[in-house]
Amino acid sequence: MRFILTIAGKDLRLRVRDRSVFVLGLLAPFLLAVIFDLVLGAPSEATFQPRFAVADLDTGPVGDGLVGVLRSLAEGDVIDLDEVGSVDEVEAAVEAGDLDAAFVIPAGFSQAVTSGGEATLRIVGNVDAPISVAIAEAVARGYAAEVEAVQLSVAVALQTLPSPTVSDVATLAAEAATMPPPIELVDVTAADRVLDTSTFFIAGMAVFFLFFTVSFGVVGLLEERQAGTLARLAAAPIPRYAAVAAKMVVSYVVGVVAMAVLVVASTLILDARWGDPVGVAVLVLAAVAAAVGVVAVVAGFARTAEQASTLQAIIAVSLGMIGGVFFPTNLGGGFLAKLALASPHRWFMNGLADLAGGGGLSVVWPSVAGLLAFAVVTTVPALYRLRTMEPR
Amino acid sequence: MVGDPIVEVTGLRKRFGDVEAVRGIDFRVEVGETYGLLGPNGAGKTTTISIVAGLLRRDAGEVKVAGMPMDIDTAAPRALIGLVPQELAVYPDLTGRENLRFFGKLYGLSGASLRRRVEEVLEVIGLRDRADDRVDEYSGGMKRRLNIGIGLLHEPKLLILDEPTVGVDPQSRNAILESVEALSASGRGVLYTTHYMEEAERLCDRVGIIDEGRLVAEGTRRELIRLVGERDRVRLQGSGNLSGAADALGRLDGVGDVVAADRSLEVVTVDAARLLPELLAVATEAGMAVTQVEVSQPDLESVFLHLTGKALRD
Repeated sequence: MRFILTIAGKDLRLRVRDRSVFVLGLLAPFLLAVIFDLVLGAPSEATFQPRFAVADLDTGPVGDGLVGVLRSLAEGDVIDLDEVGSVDEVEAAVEAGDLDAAFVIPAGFSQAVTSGGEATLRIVGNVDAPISVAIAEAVARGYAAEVEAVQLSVAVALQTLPSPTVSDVATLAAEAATMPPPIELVDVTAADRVLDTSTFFIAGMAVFFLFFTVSFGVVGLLEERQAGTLARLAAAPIPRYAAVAAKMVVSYVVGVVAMAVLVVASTLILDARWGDPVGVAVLVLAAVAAAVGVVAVVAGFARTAEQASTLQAIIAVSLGMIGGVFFPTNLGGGFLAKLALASPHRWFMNGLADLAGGGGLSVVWPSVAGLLAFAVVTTVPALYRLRTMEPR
Repeated sequence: MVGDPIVEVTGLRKRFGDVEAVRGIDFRVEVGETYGLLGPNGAGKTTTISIVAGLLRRDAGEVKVAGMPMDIDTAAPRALIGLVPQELAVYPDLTGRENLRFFGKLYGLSGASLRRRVEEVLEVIGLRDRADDRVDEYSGGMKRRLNIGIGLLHEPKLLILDEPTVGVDPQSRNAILESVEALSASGRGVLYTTHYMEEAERLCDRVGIIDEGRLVAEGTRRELIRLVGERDRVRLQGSGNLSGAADALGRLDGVGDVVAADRSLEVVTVDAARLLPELLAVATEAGMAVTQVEVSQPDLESVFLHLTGKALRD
């Protein structure tokens, strides 16, 4: 162990002096993440707030209901809402481009709804804001569906009464309107388990560059062989595995430090949200183990450091693309999703997505297990090859 | 010089794919002896010493260092060996002192003993003033000296030097050869490979001539020369009774032919250095006034040429 630490200490000193480890391990992933975030993340992250107005000419309970829905959306900063008194005012504002869409609740709207008559809700849309208009239509349809459900509930209830009065109808309508929907869908598989753009890019770049950063240790074995210093290490009275073990220790330490710095820096500077710290730490440790294994197996089968670097770059880029670290993609459940699992990058991103859903250590075990499987499958043959590598 | 061998190699063989680099080599290096492996590039010298140093696995044969079997997994005999590889096996981004400290630790040195040995070695290799400079700022000769110094750190019983003067300027080469002579005089065994005949003649007590993976001859310089029948030649130039001198010289023990030429005699002898005073005395006594003496001795180059049919640097 003493010799492993001696060799690892020397290697770490060389890497610190070399400085390329800082460029490849920290600077490059951080800068690329920032650039990706700026270029690709901006449109989806920018505040998209439709400018709506409502003209409530009805002032009845059903019209008030819609106005209430719109007010709650405005309070949640989902829309920007003006309440105006006339249709002319609304139409002029939409025409001038000051509004994207406006809801016009005509007089007698509530009466028409409660009496079972024809009720029309009018939307005035700006032709230059089709998305906002579509949103306004969706809100109106959603509200109309709810009103329809209330009407249906009341009608069914009335059939059970022998001689319903007007008071019965009003009571039933009020109760139906306040009833919660019988089935509420809560989607935790998509919306909640998606990393925000900043976190996605910094995590993607971090794990992508990790496969380059860790090469500073293991590929160093080939560099030492070419330089002749490996012969000197092999001639020393130390265990034959010491040099290989030291290189893997260096790879692991450099990888963990680089990832830790990126996690902390991106949290502080980019406002990235990685999730539960313990879960992230375990995931990072497993990801680095997998990266070291993959790079070690490449080094074990390459003849020169240059060959190893080329092979490793090809493999890192391929695994990164398969694993979907460059762009937020929806892999669905088909072939691509299955193929992605052949990449440790995907297991890492999946683990982070699980943490984004609000879970802690318990939710990352499947991803950690996947990453450790990669580490074992690659490290075992790599150790055999590297241990028997002749020093000249 | 003969004693317990520090290295004993028997029946050594090594193949790389279709090429058999070492084809059954036997030799031994005694304690305090400098043994040279002399041969052209590709003769199998580096492969042989790599196996002796435990760097390469052998296909057949046996290597013992101080009586202990040497293999790629054995640690104990390695502690007795100081290896100076042909490449500059140093870390250019570290300082000279850092290089020495690092390798010293691998050989079990620590604390005060490590500091002491590092300073001693820096003194021996003449790098004390530049010890804290990075090695990539050193000249080629300084790097070579550091390369040798690392092999000396742990005061090995056997020093293996693989062509340590390749690519070195004449001044540095001379400094390196003087260092090796001093090490040899300190009583440790030295195994030295070279394709420079002059170095083998200057440094080595015994020389093994290696070619195409075989040790084609072995012995002291004189034994090798004698082995191939080469003789020393002494040319005496002068005046007076040259024919009388030729007759007198021809009757001396150790003298072969004496050929008279215009104003000179050429004497063929087994050992010119030993016989020269007697040759001069006898020629003068016979009436020859010797004005000039020229001694030519066959060298290992001619031995190599005789044994292999090719020059050392072919």
